[in-house]
Amino acid sequence: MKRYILDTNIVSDLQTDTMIGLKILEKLKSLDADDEVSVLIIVLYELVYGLHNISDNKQKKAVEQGIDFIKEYLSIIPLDMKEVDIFANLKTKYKQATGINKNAIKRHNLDLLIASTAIAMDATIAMDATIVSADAIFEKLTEIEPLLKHENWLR
Amino acid sequence: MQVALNIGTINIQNQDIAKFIQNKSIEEIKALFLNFLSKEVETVQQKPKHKWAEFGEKMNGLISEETSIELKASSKEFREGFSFRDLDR
Repeated sequence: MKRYILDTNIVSDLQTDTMIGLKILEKLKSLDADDEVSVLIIVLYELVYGLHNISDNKQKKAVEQGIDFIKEYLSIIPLDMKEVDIFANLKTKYKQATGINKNAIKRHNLDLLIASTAIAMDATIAMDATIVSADAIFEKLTEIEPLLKHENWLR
Repeated sequence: MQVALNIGTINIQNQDIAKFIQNKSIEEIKALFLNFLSKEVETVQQKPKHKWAEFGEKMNGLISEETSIELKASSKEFREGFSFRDLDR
């Protein structure tokens, strides 16, 4: 039994009728029925913000429908006290490992928050929690923090 | 679509199966094999879809590739523009 936490890029690509979309679909089909698939509340924020930026009405309706399916099928993970320390620790480690300055690291705050949530879930509910994202930062973070699990379903 | 199978030699260790198959003609064995395969396919098709497959199928094909790019651009803007003002100052 595993928990997969889908990032926005995976959810967005899944919705297209492309090779990438079909690849993600096949991956979902290959999961066990007792696995869990979730998104972090941040992903919902981003999708709803994205919805507001779309001008084509037909596409807007389709994105809205996708958001409804996410709410219906997936569990939505809220932010929690559990990841506060993990976040601070991970951000510090990332800064030290990459030498990134404090301005540049701002753009990764939410990525680090997502990673911290996965680490916290993995530790507290004894259920393998894996981030599914095509974003390269998560791969880098797994090198820095071995407790973080990451998969890129586009590969 | 037609597929021609050339699966080489099958070594049968089980004595009962060996005895059963010994007196069959190649055509009979082919028919048995095809019958077995069609039952397998039927079983897979009848297997109820789990929640994640159902979710994936409902989501897949909903939006155009352009819209997906727009969603990812909004996400990037949202993510990169976010900061804990006090912490990052």
